[in-house]
Amino acid sequence: MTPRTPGKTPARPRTASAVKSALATLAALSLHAANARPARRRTALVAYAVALILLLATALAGIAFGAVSLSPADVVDGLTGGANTFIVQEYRLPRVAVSILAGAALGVAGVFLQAALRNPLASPDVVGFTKGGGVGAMAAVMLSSPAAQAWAIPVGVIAGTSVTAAGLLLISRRLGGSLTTLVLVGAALSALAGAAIEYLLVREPQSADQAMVWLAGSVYGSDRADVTALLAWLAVCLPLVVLATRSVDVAGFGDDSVVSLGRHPVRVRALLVTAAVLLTAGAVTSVGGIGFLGLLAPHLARFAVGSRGHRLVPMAALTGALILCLADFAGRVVAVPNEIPAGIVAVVVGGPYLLYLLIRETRKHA
Amino acid sequence: MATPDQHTVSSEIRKAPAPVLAMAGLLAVAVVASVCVGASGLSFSRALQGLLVWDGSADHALVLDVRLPRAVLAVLVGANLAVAGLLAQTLTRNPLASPQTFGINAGASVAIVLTVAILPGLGTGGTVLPAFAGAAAVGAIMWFLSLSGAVTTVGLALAGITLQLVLTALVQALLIMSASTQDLVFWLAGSVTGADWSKVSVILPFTIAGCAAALLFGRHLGVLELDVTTGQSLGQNTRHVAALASLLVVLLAGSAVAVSGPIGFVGLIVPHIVRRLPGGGDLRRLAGLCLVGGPLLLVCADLLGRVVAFPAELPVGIVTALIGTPTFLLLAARQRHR
Repeated sequence: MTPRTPGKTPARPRTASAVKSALATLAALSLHAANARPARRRTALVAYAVALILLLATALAGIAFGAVSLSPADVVDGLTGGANTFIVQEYRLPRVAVSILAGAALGVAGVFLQAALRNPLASPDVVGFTKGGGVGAMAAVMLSSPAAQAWAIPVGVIAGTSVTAAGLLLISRRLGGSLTTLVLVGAALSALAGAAIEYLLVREPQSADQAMVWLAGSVYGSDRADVTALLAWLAVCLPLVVLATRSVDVAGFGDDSVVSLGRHPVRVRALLVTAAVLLTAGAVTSVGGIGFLGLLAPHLARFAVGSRGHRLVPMAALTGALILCLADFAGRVVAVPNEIPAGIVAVVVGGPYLLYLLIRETRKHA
Repeated sequence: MATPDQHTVSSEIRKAPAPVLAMAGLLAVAVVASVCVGASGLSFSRALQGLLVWDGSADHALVLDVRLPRAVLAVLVGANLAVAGLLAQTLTRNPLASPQTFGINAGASVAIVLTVAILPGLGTGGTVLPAFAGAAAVGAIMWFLSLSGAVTTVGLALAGITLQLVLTALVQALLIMSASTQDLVFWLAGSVTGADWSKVSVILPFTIAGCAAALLFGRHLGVLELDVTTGQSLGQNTRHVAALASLLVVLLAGSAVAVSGPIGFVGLIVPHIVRRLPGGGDLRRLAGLCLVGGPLLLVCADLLGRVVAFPAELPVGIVTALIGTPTFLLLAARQRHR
């Protein structure tokens, strides 16, 4: 395959899997195949549409389900200021909105990290970002007064995540800067952050139960302020995300090819990692350490639209949002009246998928 | 067959006495220090007296029932983990293998937490079997991955670490759902606190059997380091030998996790350190060195955890993680240069 700059030339249609061709047929039917767009693009459009519809349906279900059951009509009524305004707008809508935003952020962060580290197993939790943020948050909770926690926790998370990422880049550069070292350093930092979290848990055992729920990741108790904060943070990150998206394709090639394309490999990697750090920090602040989303969402997205950055990133945002929304919904429905944190649902689903990935990788080479 | 083997073991040890003896001396000093240091502020001479004079005093009881079992447990767990790490590295021909990096410790933890959540009254003895089952399940996955030869050294380590993340998250899930987090937090970090003779008696048979098997069959197990064809041409049934090695890894690591929680990095770094000592090279000698080196590291880490955070204490698993992470990074860096 010849390297091309994204966006300028349409991708050549490649051999598609059965599902992709089925989707393509669907697309052809729905668009009447009138205009001569490349098949890939149509597939992507259909995939976007399907994911969006699923996301809307899940969000609607998430708003409708709860201690007080609402009909779809009630939900629409509540959204527009009718009878159930309070329940819908103060409790359920913020929760669904936070899970959509955080899921999208983690999905995109996963794409960036997998591109930067050129490793399909990389994700914010594997390289220690999530845990680093967790250490920062726990330290902030323990050090600051209760009144100051509203701002201390975000600061702690951002500090923790950034320190982890800086450590990752600096140490692996000292050790030679190759990709495998980067991944291993990430795993080691993750272990170190895990030890720090355990130390804090042992020091303050009375807050352990609460901390465990937060560390596992949950959208429980999200309110409007959380939505606004997360939305503002993601809006600030947006320019960087756009820049990073344009580097996803380039980063997929070897370092030599990156150089021959006129880009600086270390800078490309730093850009992608920085974007991933900022997105992860935002998500971790609002929902805690939800793992596997950053691993799962990019893979599903790649399956649907292929690996070109400008299609993959929006799709990963959609799938990430969809997964977190679904996980939260499932966690609320499965054990009524108790709730299972969304992060745990994600792990229970993500774990077997990881095994599948490993086995597939083995088969491919065997 | 037993006699010549034992003869060779002793002659091997005679050939390389210096490092083993030096480390054994250090270990003895560390164990005595571990018995003498503690929150109750017993003086050195009183502690030694408690250890040596059976006078039935409170000091004697403290030393005999609290501090001594703790030191002994640290010794046994250290030996188990180090030998398990050595065998895992030999079996998979992967220098980054260990019970922790391959998720075997985490597998055992999940099984134990699950068992405790379902049957809360179970003692340490009852958690050994589930620990074996969990360790064996994860061990089988990793072994399958490494045998196929498809995944690179680093890739395999990454796969193990990711698997460990999943399993740790599962442990978290179980803890949240059973709402008994506080009791298990210390155990989960990996700790020899609260050791008593019953825990020692749980792990002791496995330590003796596992380490003896590693020493006795070391000559056969060493063949695993070569590739399969060479192993066969040397007259070994590589499958049987590999199965034996995996069984030993599961027994050693599983029983260690059952009594002390998932203590990381001991199994990873001790084999690497002893390989650089003069006696190293042959697997039997390495196993002998690990038998002394693992306990030495763990007893020292436990001691450090008690001294640093005095009068509270740090779980030993956190101390080993703090020591082990930089070492792991150095190993990874060296791996790159090869």
